[in-house]
Amino acid sequence: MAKAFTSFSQNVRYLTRSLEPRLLAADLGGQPRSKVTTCLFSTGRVDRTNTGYPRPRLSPQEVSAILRQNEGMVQLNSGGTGWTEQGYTSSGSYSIDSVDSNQLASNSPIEDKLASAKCLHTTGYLFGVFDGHGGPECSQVVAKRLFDYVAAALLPRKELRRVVSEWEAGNRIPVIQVYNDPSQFVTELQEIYQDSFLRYCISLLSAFDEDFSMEEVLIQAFVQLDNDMGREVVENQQSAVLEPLLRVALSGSVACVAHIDGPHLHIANTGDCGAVLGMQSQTAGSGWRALRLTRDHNWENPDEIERVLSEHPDSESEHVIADQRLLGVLMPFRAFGDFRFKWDLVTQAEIIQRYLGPEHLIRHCITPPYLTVTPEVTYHRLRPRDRFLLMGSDGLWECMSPLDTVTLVGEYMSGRQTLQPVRFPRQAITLREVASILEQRQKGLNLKPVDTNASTHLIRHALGGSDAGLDHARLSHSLTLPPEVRRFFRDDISIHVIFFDPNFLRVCPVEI
Amino acid sequence: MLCQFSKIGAATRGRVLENGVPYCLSVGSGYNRKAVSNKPSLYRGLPSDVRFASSLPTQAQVVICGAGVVGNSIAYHLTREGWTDVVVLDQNEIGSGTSHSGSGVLGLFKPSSERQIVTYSVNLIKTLQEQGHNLGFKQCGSLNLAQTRDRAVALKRRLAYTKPSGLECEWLDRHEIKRLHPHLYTGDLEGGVWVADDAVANPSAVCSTLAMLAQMQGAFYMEGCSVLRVITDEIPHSQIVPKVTQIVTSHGNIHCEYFVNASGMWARNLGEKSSPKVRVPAFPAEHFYLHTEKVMEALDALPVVRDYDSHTFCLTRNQEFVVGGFEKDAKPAFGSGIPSNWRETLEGDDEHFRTIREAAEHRLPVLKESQYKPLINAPDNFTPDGKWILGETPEIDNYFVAVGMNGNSLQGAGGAGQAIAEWIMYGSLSKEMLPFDVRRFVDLHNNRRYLKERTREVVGRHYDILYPGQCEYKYARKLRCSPINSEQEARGAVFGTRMGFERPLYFDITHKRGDPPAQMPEGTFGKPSFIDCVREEYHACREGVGVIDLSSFTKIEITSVGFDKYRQFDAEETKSAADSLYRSKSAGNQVVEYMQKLSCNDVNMPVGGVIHTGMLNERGGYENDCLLIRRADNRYLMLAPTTQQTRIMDWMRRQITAEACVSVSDITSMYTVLCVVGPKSKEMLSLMCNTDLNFYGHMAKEINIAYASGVIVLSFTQVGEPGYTLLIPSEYTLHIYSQLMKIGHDYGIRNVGMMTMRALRVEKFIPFWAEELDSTVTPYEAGRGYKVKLNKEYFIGKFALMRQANQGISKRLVHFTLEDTFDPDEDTWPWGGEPIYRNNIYVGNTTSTAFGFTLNKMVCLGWVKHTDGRVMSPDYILGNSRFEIDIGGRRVAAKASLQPPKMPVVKKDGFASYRPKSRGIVA
Repeated sequence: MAKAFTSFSQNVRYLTRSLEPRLLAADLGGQPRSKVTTCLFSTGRVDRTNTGYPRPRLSPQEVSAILRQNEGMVQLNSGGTGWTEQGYTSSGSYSIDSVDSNQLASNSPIEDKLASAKCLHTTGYLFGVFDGHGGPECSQVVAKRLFDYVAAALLPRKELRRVVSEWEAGNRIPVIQVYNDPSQFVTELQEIYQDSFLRYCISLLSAFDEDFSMEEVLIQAFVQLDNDMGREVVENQQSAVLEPLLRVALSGSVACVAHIDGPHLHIANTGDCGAVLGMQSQTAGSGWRALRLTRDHNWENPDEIERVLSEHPDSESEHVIADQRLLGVLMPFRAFGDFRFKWDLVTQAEIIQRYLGPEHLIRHCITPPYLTVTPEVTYHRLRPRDRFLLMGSDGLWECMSPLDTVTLVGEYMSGRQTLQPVRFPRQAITLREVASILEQRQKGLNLKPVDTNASTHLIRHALGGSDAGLDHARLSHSLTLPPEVRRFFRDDISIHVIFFDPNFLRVCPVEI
Repeated sequence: MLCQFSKIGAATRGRVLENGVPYCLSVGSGYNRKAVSNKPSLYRGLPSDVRFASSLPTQAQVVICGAGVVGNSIAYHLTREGWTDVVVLDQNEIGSGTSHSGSGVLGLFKPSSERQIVTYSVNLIKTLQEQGHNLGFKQCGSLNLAQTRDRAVALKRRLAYTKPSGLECEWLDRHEIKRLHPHLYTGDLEGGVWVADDAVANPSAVCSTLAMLAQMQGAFYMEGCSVLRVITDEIPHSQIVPKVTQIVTSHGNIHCEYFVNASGMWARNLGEKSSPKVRVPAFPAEHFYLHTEKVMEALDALPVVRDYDSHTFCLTRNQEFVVGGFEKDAKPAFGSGIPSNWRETLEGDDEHFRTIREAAEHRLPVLKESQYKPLINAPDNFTPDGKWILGETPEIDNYFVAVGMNGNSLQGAGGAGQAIAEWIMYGSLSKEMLPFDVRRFVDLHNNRRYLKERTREVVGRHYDILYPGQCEYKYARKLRCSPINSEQEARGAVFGTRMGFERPLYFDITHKRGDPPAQMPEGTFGKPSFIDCVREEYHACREGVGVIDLSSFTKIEITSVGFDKYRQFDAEETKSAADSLYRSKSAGNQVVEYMQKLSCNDVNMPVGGVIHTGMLNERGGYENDCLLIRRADNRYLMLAPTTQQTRIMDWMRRQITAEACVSVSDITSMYTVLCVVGPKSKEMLSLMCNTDLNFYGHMAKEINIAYASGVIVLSFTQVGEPGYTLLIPSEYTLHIYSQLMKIGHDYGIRNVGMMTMRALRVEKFIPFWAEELDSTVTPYEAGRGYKVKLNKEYFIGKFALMRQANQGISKRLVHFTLEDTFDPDEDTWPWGGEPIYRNNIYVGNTTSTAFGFTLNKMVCLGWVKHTDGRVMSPDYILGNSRFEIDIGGRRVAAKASLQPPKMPVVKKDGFASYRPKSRGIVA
């Protein structure tokens, strides 16, 4: 589904300078313009299978190659379980076992962005799904900058002061360690962004440090980054990088960010990405339950409609939400960027009218801001039955229900377990226990998935799933849709699957 | 005359002396004083020869059965205070039972409750001897030897807590021991304790002298007269305790007001000769003495020698050495009843005694050259826990018991006789006798097979090192078990027994399913090796979830019965209408009234309410510390400590008046109690039931758990941690337990034992019955004043508490943490009973101790008295004072507190409290 206005620039200028050509390609369009794809389409010969889809143009190997192109994987627990002779031990193990990520483009270039990072100076990990609209710029920038803002706000005052003084001395020590993203901002932007970040850190230092609240930290980081993106445009009107800055500010992005530390899971969500927790049912081994941890911020959420309407005079109510969209244009009701919905009318006149022309102003934009970036923060304490967290852009949720995704990943897990060589949990093990482990393994082998990456597995089923199981023809068809029509069939899909270590969650103490 | 007697019989038991006759504890002054009775005596003024008539009187105020040293002592003390209307019966003749023989040693080096009784005995015999009676009393002192290091620690610990009493005792090395007793072989000794005041006396002389004095003071003795039955009065309903009225003897009947069973070996049998039967769990064991012929070396001045590690003692009397022992595996005597010619049936078992004789010869080489007289077999009565049995029986009013002297009737007789006399005359005791209370038993203790089995080890325990908390009985175990006992055993439980109930002490973490049952390791006075198991359990309770089996707790149901005394039914009302009215709300009044009278907290809470309350005596001292659940308008359920099972039933029944219409019944076996403790307990338990487990305050709900129904859930734990107490109908217990363990697996659930429970509650300053709380301490003194509601209607003890609330208290329960000079890995631990010093002055003793895993310090609870007995302010404890606790002779500085320590609160709600931890700056 078309998500946002498309009137803005069609020219894509790369904001990032990739160190790796492959990643650049990924940023470009999500899939290589392989000769196969194009030439197959050019034949125009339609030969249908019994499921109603054209005879597959792609071989299973080619499908897999396309699907796996953007796979990412983070392994946190150093393999193996935490068994010792005494039983479980928490040493060396962590609540997160591993993270499988993947994305599949529909837009060209892809407007989604995935991010994962470790907070370097505090405990915990950050994961994010960013779904851009009106161009990829905003989501790319937010994905690369937001975690710095969050991580800095999490720092105790003492450590933060240390970081600030290092930065001021020119030693820009990082606050996060990023996984699976070697790209960097071009130098001019980098300097502007680092300057904003330092100013943000200094402002944090002068704030009151007591009464720490995770919710406030996350909200503050979101809001501050968004403010900075707007301010950077206003302050850099003479700069050579005004154009990209403007592009970032005028495109938009929703975001869903998870902070996980041991059993503590905080989710900050702005917009219509979603996070779902996969829980194993009480009767061990069979059945899965899905727990939604986020609410969408769009017209389907009555609370959001009420909130948005309440923020504007009644006279505007006809236009504030029209055609299921904000001011008839924007689908998500909360987002980064989109400053045409946020800037006051004076700034809009000054910036948009001057650089883009009056036709780029939004109609009925009378009492801005109409859009907020403030996320909704939820907390969940992970329990031993919570086996994984699914974070996905709306491209996934349009194809599948939360329960379907959870069941798919759950079944995938039991299959994945059996892919590894059999390993017995402890030394003194009875034959009966060996038999039951082998039985479990046998069951899993039947479910053995094609993919080693859970996100790929999900995408494969999202595209090719049918009542009768995976349909290769459907999959192939979906992947070979011409770019012009592709966007009407599916949106960009981006998925993080974060697996938890139940052994850790079983024994991890409640903090005191 | 009969008419006059019945008037006495009706007189309120235990009335305090009214006409101001001073009750005198001192022995000397009491002896020749012409006693003045406050009560009209039947025989006042009659010539004395009438009193010694050969025919049995038809009535007496007190009848004592058994003219042994204990019975004589009671008669002596009663008559000395003017209660001269006393008849003493003996089936044979005075002192013909087991009082006749015996070592004659009076040992003072004992725990304080025993010591105060023996001290009285020593002073009594000493005074009598000074007055010219030949009792063979000499204060020769005693040497208590230690062969091993642990024995030395045991003796030094006892030395430490004995010293403040003023008893002259000190630690000697082997050379000093040799100097005091030149014949001893001391080469293998660690040292020993010298107790100067220990004495020996001639048991039969003391016995007959007391009998003679009692007769001179007015007691009537009848020999050759056996008691056939003890008759009690008619009672209106079963809730009332019957009272002694008449004794049927072989020589006729005696009407009486009080009856004392002091018949030694025959006491258990005599207990069965009444209706209801009276429990007297004591069993005779063979007990041997070896006398040498007269030898030069056996000087009278030589001290008594107790060689504990060889289970042997030795003394000198009449130029003879006397050797005896408390052997490890004793021989119960008279398994099938005591024959009338019991003396002839017993023979000296030289083979059985050989180890003791050899040990004695090793210690006293001079014995090897001596000639021995034939071995004497002098059986004596032993009790299941090796402590005397004293007090009024729970089964029958005014029926007292004083038996179970455990191999040495002489040392206890004086003090016990005085105590029983005081109890009869004043209805209560000024000192605490909880360890000896006859109400510490339940029926199983009186089982002959049980007693016989237990007696084998009880004898030897007198000389064993009783490692604190680690000295469980070997025999007669696995008697009362909770339904999950075998499951607990399979999970590595190490059990201890209380009231015959098997309770897991801790769960061995090295134990695997299928292994043989886990065993308690060798005892120690320092850090026990199972502390790691306790730590694991502790952390489960503090941070995760643990399950404690508290099934042994006493459960008592209190209900209104019969018609509401305030309700008048109209004549027109049919019987069924009256019945339904009876079942209606108004019927609830009397039980509330009754419970309000008993409880110091306001227990008139709504149905479903739970409240923790004390039950007090008139002096404001604790009789019970319990949890009350209001199950219905006219019904309460009480959860009381395990050891209270007999005692509190007795006490509560005594508070029921004939018209009270309240019924008290023991339903201990109906419910199993599992305590699910820890911050994860709510989340876990909510998976097992469909009920909202967010309770308001202290509420009980009856809910379905797993597939079981009718489980009473309280959101209360005994250990001060969040969690739930489940009262489970016993048949569901195994099911619920296995479900708990299954669901709990994901929450890291652990089985938790009593050791951990102690660690949790001691650290948090929660006093428990029989450790901190007894009948001599009030809620204010124990720091539980907040559980007293002085503004409610009358309750027992209210006036005493009001007085105390105004005037202040002179002792206080204090929470001590040992300073860092104490090394828990290396040093001897405090285990309870250690003396507390404030600015170098003794102020009290510790009660319970435990290692506090959160505070990471050793924690002791203890009583601190004002040195001058005056009222103390908190400043006395918190002000500028230096507290030390004497652990086996080493004083360790301790920090005193009157408040529970500030323990970090475990929060389930991470949203409000979570903050990532700093890793420091990672370069």
